[in-house]
Amino acid sequence: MPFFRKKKKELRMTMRGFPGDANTCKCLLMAAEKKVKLDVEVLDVLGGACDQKAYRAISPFGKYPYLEEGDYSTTSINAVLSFLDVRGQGGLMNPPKAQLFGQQNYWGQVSRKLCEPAVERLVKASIYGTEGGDLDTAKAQIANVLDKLNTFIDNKEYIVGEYSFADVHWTAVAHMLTLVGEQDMISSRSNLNAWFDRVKARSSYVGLPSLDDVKNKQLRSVA
Amino acid sequence: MADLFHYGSAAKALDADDRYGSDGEMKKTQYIMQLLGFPGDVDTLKCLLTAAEKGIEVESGILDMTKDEQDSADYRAISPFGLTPALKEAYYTIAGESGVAVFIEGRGLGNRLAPRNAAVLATEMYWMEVGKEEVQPHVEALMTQKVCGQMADPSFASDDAAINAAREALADSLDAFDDQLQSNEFVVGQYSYADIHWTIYIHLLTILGEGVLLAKHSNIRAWFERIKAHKSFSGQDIISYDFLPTLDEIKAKIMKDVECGEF
Repeated sequence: MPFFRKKKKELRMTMRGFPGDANTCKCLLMAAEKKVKLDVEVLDVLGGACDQKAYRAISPFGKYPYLEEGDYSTTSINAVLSFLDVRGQGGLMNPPKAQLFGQQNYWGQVSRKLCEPAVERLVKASIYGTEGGDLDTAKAQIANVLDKLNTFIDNKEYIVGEYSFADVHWTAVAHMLTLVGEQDMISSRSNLNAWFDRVKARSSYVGLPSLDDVKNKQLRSVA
Repeated sequence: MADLFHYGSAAKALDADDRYGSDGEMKKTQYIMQLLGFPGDVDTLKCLLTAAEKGIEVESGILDMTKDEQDSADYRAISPFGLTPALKEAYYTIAGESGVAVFIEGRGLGNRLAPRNAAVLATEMYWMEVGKEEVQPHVEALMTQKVCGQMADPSFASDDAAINAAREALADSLDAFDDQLQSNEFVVGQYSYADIHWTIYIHLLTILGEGVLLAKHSNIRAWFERIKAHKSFSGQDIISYDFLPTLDEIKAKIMKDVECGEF
């Protein structure tokens, strides 16, 4: 064993999230990638759990997922992902090279701003039977973004070359599309299809909620 | 199709003498960057301030968002989804505040803006999210109602109900932000990206004449005075806040270049 290596002790945290939420899926992925044990509790966001007084006492703006480790807690997606990244094992997930770091964040912003709201509408409509608005427009918007992402990742193993936060964001999106029966949106785009096969082969993927989990509003802990 | 980055030093050959900006012992070998954005755009200003904080020299170019130039074919050739601002350094371009800011950080001088400690980093990220989701939409609404709406259309009449709604929507966030600054010199203690984000929100609220929203928030006001005197994080002898546009400059569609002096 190398003389100066300091082994990070095994970490255990608790997360409150929702199985039909892409951001919760991202946190599950991240915890698995960083070998953080994560106990999970379901926060029924569709049932208004984020607006309850008790929840607002710990998350004043109702943001989720919510993460605790000992006396420390944080909430909102980038805060939770960053905390898991630094506390977990392995190197930091942000690419060290500025150009790749910029591209990672660009695709993260595109995912959150231009794709995830549309995916959320599909989830609400197709899984929970709630009003999702104009679903054809939502699908067209997703398709437009996926076309450009497919072009961008040509000849790349992962979105910016090496595995990064961008892959965490887009794995959650691709997974959600699969759950709502829109897997063709990924499989019909050759580069995205190949990329998705690669991320599904990573051990972190198995912890994502199944369709039954999402329907039944249940989450599985990351062991 | 027009190259919207073809201005300033970017219009010269890559090996031209003045592509590298100011001289000095501390100078990193890097090109002057071009930032394409709008002085009334929150995300553009976050990136401009980041450049000043990181000692990155920037030539600003105007993307007239009052004429929806972010949807033009020329701009979409740079930023396919119309994200603003856009940045170029030599052959590399990037768009959207999130990507532009970290690229500038990576190429800039000085320590990292993002804290290293996990808890402090997460707290920084939390306040950036609160800012983006709970504050920025309402600052942008006020900007539209009070300035940019009429810049786009002289017949535009501001909507008092919309203005009041934006003000009311900001109340809880400003209360929370004031509490956060109770015992912190900067948002998370040390200066970070969270300060850059909130500087833009408070700056725009101030120049829009919404200072009354801050009247009862002594911590925010004290923090803002520190921000206005805060020297560049990179160590350069510049006050980063000075690069932000005044209201008159926004109306005149003027955006300052970031010049850092001798390194």
